[in-house]
Amino acid sequence: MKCIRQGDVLLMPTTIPTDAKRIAVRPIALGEKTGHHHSLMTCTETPVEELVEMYEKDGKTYVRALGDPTDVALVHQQHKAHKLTEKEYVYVPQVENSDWGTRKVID
Amino acid sequence: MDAMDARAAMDARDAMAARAGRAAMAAMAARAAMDAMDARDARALQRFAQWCIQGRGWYWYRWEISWLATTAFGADQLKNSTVAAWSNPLLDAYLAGCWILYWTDDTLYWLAKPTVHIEQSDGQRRLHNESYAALESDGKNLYFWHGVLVPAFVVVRPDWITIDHIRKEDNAEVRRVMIERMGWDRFCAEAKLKVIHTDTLTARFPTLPVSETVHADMRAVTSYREGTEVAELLESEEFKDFDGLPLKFVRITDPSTGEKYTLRAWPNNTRAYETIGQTFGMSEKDYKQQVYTHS
Repeated sequence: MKCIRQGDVLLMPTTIPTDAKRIAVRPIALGEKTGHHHSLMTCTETPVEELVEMYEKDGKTYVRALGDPTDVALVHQQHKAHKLTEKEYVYVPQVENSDWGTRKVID
Repeated sequence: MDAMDARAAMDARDAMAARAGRAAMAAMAARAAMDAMDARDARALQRFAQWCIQGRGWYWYRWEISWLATTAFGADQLKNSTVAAWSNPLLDAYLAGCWILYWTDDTLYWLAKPTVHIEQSDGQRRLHNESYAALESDGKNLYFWHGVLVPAFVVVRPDWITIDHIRKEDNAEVRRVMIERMGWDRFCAEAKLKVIHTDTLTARFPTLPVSETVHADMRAVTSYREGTEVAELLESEEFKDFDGLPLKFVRITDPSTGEKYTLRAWPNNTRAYETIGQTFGMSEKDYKQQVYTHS
């Protein structure tokens, strides 16, 4: 399994549940204090919305590459780019411990 | 229109709170706000100022005048008096120093163009000022440290930063800046931190930097290099959790940005990558084997 990590975002290869709800393609995560975002982009002439689909189920966000996954990359203003290698991923947000229990890492 | 009305109402609420909180300024107020954790007006004001500069794009409905005002040139070229009737006053306002106009049924809000302090980094501009606000505006001065929005005292009085501020800060970027401004040595000394485990992970790291200034054709052309990430697990002798157990942190050097991040570890963690794996819901073994590429 080839996971992709970009800062506090992990894309883990998975099989998207058949009953997951399709959602509009959008940034995977937003940086509250920087205005930056982890998003999917492409270097092809085709709009990225025609190369990937996004889904949600039980609070999890899924990504599906429709054609060649390497046409799409996970990018961020301050991180390096990552080409996708698999067809389907689930977004795993990073968490940490706190005084009040485990919480999502926000940046 | 319902959605736009709702958004306008929300923005108006923020704007009113912003006006009410205008007196709360700068370092002391920011520190007091953090310490008290209840400065509602100050936070609303900050949200409003943040919205002005970090809202979703510069579309016409965001009331940013430089874009809207250009309509006047088109109206003049096309001799369209109807459009000129509303766009010429906007152009006049822009030339007179207006940055953002926002109106409700009975109130017109005017914000003058802010003074911004920026630096160049990796081909892009970001807000930064080492001695004062990076964005000086009518709404609220905002303090940025290399592009990260932080409380004022973090910039102007780093000697005021305490372990307690860092411990209570929810945002990992702000926490990183606080530690940077406090100084790692002072942070370790005050928290009485000791390294209890050090580990490395060799993986594939992309070599291509990405920023908004990188041409779209280049964004996905990614080559990889082998690199090594270093992680340390630290334990504090000074600070305990609610169960009386020493606080633990994991410190990682981000191989992509070069920044050092500190995340709070769990009390039973004994190995650095055990903690990092756990932050993504994975075991240490799975994390080391399955994370194919990093940044």
